[in-house]
Amino acid sequence: MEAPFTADFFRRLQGLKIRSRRAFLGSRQGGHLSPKKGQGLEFADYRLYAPGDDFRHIDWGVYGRTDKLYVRQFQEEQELEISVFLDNSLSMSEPASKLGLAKEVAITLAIIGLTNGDTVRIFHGEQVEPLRFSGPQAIRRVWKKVMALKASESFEFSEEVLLAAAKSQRPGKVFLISDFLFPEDSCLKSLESLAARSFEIGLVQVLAPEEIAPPIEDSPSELNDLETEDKTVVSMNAKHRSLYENLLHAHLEVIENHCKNKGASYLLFQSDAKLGTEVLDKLLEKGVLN
Amino acid sequence: VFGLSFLNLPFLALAIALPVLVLAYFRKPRYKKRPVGSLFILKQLPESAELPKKLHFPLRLFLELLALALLVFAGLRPFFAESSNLVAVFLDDSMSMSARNSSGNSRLSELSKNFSVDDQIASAKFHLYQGSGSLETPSEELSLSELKERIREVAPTNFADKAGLKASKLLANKSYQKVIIISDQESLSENERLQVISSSADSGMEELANLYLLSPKKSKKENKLKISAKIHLSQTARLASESVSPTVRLLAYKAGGQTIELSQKKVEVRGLSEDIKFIVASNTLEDVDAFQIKLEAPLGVNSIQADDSLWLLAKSDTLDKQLIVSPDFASLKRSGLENLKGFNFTLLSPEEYAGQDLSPYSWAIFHKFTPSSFPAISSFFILPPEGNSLFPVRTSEDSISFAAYKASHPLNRYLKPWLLDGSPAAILNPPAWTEKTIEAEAGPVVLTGESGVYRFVASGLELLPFEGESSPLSSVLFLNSLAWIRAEASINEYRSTGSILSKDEAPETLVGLRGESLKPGELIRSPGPYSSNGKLNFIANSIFPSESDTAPKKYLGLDTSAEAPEATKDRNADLWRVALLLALAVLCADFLIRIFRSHEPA
Repeated sequence: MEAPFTADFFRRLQGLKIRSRRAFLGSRQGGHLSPKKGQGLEFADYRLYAPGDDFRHIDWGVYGRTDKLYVRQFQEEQELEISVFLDNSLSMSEPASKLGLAKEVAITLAIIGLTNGDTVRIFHGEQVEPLRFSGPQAIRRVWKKVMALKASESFEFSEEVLLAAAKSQRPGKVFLISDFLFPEDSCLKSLESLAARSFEIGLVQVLAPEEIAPPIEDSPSELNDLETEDKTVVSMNAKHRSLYENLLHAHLEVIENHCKNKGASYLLFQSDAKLGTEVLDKLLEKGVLN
Repeated sequence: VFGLSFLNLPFLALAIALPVLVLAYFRKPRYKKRPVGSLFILKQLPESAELPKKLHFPLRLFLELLALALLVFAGLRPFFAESSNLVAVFLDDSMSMSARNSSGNSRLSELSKNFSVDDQIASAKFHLYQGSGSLETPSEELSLSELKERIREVAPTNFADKAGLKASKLLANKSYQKVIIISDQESLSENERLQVISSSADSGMEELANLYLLSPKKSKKENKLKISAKIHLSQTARLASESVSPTVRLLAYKAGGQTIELSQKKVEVRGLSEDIKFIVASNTLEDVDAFQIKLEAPLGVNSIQADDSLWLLAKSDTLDKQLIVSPDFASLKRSGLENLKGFNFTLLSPEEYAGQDLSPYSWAIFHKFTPSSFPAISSFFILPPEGNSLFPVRTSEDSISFAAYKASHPLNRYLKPWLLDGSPAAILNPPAWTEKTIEAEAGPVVLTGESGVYRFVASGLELLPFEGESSPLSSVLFLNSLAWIRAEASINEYRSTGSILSKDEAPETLVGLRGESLKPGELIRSPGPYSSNGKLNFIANSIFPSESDTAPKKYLGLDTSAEAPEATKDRNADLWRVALLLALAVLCADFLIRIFRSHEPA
């Protein structure tokens, strides 16, 4: 694999885990606590002994105090289903660094998940069914598949998220990676739909430096929206830039508030951020990883 | 306008950039186009579509046009032609001005008598220029009376006058309030700064004056020597149906400058030409080096006196070989050109010509082959237009275009261009502008012409063998040209040179009849015998093609080679700098506006 997925980077990933605040039911054994009781290390509860229960689980101390047989119950550790919605629509292709960083973040999350025995599903615009991976052996395949993704003309990010949420049978951890430069309502709908299905959401917003602070230009430019093919003429002078920054700030604030309300983590990355340092640090800082 | 004149008028062509700039401005896309990922936020900004159209475009375009106009103005090198109290008087003192009318007055004196000036400039100071002098050195400042006095003292001299060219140079000199030309040349048209005092009104004098002596021959007959020549009359004189009766004198020239008159006769010239013959006893010709035939017209009407005297060398000339260099030399050989009577041709291919010693040859013909440099001997170029680096010609498609010819010119009388039926005309006397290309009088005979803005020289004659009456007309022209070059080559023992001069190797200084000395290679302008170390070398029969040459009026004022005097340039030296500085200032303003607009609030 090529930079930034170097040996040093993988060493940094060792011991990292995608943190879920809630327990989710998995389909097989894994590294995350699940609501299912059974084999495990984490004590969950007591219940009255019933014939057939394993004698080894009888808590003899409780029996001494209450004269009743209670058996100890444990929370089962199961795999976590991680869904990554990678926005590879045309809007992420200008500048190309946006989609680049989005893909790198998606791969990083997938690597961490796969290393810990989780199942990773990656939704993107090039095919209807998500890519599904499990087990550490799938790491190289993830890298290859995701890195090969190109900007797709037909990808409607919010709709895809809504559709996937509707079809999902088992909740889990979900990451939405996009520039979120579309109306806040769509974003809110996506979040609501996922929250209603009990998903734990991480929202990763990737913006280019020139989208955060556009350079001042001496003459008006005709700007062409790659996705919608809309056009507008903008004179990015000092005043317009200030106005733009205010509008962007308000937009980001709305998204962040939606995330807070829905219990989702919110992360904003500049597309020129370094994956091995700035991105990982922020994922840890925001509690997405532990 | 505002008294402004320009030194570098062709720079005005750059003004074409002005509409180009406007066009480019309109054709330029109004905005830079740039793709963006999303317009979601950007669309909420106020749209700036109308902004540049209404405010930015005209001001910056105006500034840039202004800057360009100022640059063009600076390049034109403007100066104020300050009102000057100086008047230039150009006096044509060439030989043609010595023609006399029925009262015996010369043309020069008649014109001097007619010389008058407007009251406006009567009190001005005058600079007198003479055709025989240089334009660099005018006379001292003269008052009108002094000027008239000075003009009366001037006597015509023999030189290649080029009055038209000199007049145009004087006109280009903006420090003169007025230029007055006193000349017999007709084509000098007047303009507001030019006054021409010409002899055109004096028709009785002008045309009868053109008498030429041509075709000198000498042959031995028993113990007598026969010397013959032709007298030619001008066309107008013929039309006048007036016979002219000049006196022809035969003189013998002896070493040391002694001249003895052998014979004289009066000849009535009735038609186009008249033959004259002198027969003298051989025993009277001891020690004679050369013969001179002199023409003295009744009433002194000979205008071109240089042509009225012919010289014949009494001794034979060893340099009697001619060289033809042609890629077609084989076919020329087959056609018998080498056996042409009266010539002694050597035919060479261009390859053989390289490194050839030219000293044995009296002159050379270059046919369809352009030597890399002008040969050291008199040469006749018969060149195709293609690959012709010596003489720029128009394009290969151009047919020969003969612009004009003077039928009365001696050279044209030999060449008979009118034999080229269907061709318009020919100038075979190279006009002044060809001098930059070729020193015409030094030898080469060139065809010249003009068409539109192009001028061409030396194009188109075909070198064809003479085939008697069935010869193509062009070959007749060619043979006539040869005859002129050789100035009657059929007499083997004599050589007269026409105006093909300075051909001998003689490194020594040559001394002319009047004791004038000529350095090697220097052009001979006076006819007569020339000797070196006391030994007679050759005879020069000067026929000055340029004597009758008139600069067409369109040359006047268009000669860009004429520089305004330094004084005028100095006076206004800063004007173009000011324009340049202004242009830079405007460009700076344009740049500042560009910067300012990038930061201004919308």
